[in-house]
Amino acid sequence: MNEKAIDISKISPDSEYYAYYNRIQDELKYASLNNHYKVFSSLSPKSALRKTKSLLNIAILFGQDEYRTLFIDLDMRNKTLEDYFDNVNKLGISDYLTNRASKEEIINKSLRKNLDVIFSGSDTIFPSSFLESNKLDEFINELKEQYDYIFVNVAPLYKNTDAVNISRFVDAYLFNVALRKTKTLDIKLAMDIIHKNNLNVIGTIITNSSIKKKLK
Amino acid sequence: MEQEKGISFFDILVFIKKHLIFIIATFVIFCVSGLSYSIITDKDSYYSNINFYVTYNGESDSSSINSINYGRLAAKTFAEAINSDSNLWKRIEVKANSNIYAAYGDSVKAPTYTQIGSSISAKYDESLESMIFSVKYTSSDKRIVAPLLNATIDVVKELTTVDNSEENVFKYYKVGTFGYVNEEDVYNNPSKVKNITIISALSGLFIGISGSIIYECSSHKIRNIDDIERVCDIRIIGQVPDLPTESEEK
Repeated sequence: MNEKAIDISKISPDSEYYAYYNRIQDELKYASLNNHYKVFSSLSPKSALRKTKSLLNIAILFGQDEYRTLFIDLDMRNKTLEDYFDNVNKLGISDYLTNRASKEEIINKSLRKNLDVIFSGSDTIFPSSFLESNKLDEFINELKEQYDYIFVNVAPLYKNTDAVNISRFVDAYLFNVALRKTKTLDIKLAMDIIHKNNLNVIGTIITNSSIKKKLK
Repeated sequence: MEQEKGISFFDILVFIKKHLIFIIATFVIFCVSGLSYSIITDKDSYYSNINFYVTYNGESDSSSINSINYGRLAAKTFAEAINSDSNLWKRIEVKANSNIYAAYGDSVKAPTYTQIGSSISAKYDESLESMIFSVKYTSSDKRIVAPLLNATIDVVKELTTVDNSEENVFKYYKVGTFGYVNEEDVYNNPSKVKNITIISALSGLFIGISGSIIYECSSHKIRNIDDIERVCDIRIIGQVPDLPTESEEK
């Protein structure tokens, strides 16, 4: 990434960008209220479709609404989340699962208002095996007690089964489609995976939309 | 919030930005190819023409209508005679070589018929009450145009006065000329380099843009809500624009 990535917290709350994200946030709140969803994740057929960015922005909005919010990056192959934050502890979930760091060490407190972040951590040879571990399940269950909402970033569907593996603790998914980038065939393949694995996808988010107005 | 449908101006901008390099590349390649081709193959050419006025001199009827018809016939016959590389052209060639030799010596020779561009046209001139038929020669060698036309004048005059054979249709005409052609009457026909290059450049631009459109149409990328709804049965809950970059935000 050539330029420092920017998230919604850097933008004026009066801007139109908030209106678009607030609508999605309302949908998640409504789903959560009715079904007691707490852990959300995002699916995309391929990478570079703004999946991480849109999920992070939604998490930031929940934090700004005074909810205790946690963002966990389980995409160990593509560490784009670090581009959004300066001077953070890069120890992450892989370090915790391999007993190289404690729970307290890997949680970056209040990187944004009411938003804690856990990065993916040190490089690992078999990231998928970590996502299948019981220790991760226990860890997430503990975190559910501490936070109102947990957002989990995971690798795109076409690369591996990571997104499917974490379905045991993810309550609901969002499905990301990028205009002018995602191909029809990729969506069909993704839909096939979603239906075969019975993933609970509550809505589609369209990214890379053409609304681009000057900020106030 | 309105959802995105159809093709917007922004879509067009995105398309141009995405394919700009390809479009410029085809444009430049075609420009260079066209320019090179035209430089290699195209040269300046020189041309001039002479006019004959032809009046029917037959015994039966000398009305203007017959004059027109016979004038046309004369022009047609003359054109066919030259085009079929008959004795007529050979006579012109011999005469032309003689004229050229007088002017330039051995260094220049009259071209064969295939080496020269010629055109012959005929029309009726009311003021002269005669058919005017016009002979035009074009050559890359300026020096041979005038001698060749002057040789043609001589040969046509001979046809009407000397040759009394039955096949010679010219014997029924009174043929006159407006005088011989000088070197000052030979004009330059500029090279078509510029035209060919412009045509090549426009072709390159057209191919670049149409190639990009074909690629876009065949890539099956999602462009609007309708495209998504066709393949995805999950409800759309929102769309998000791209946030500005750090520099844009400042």
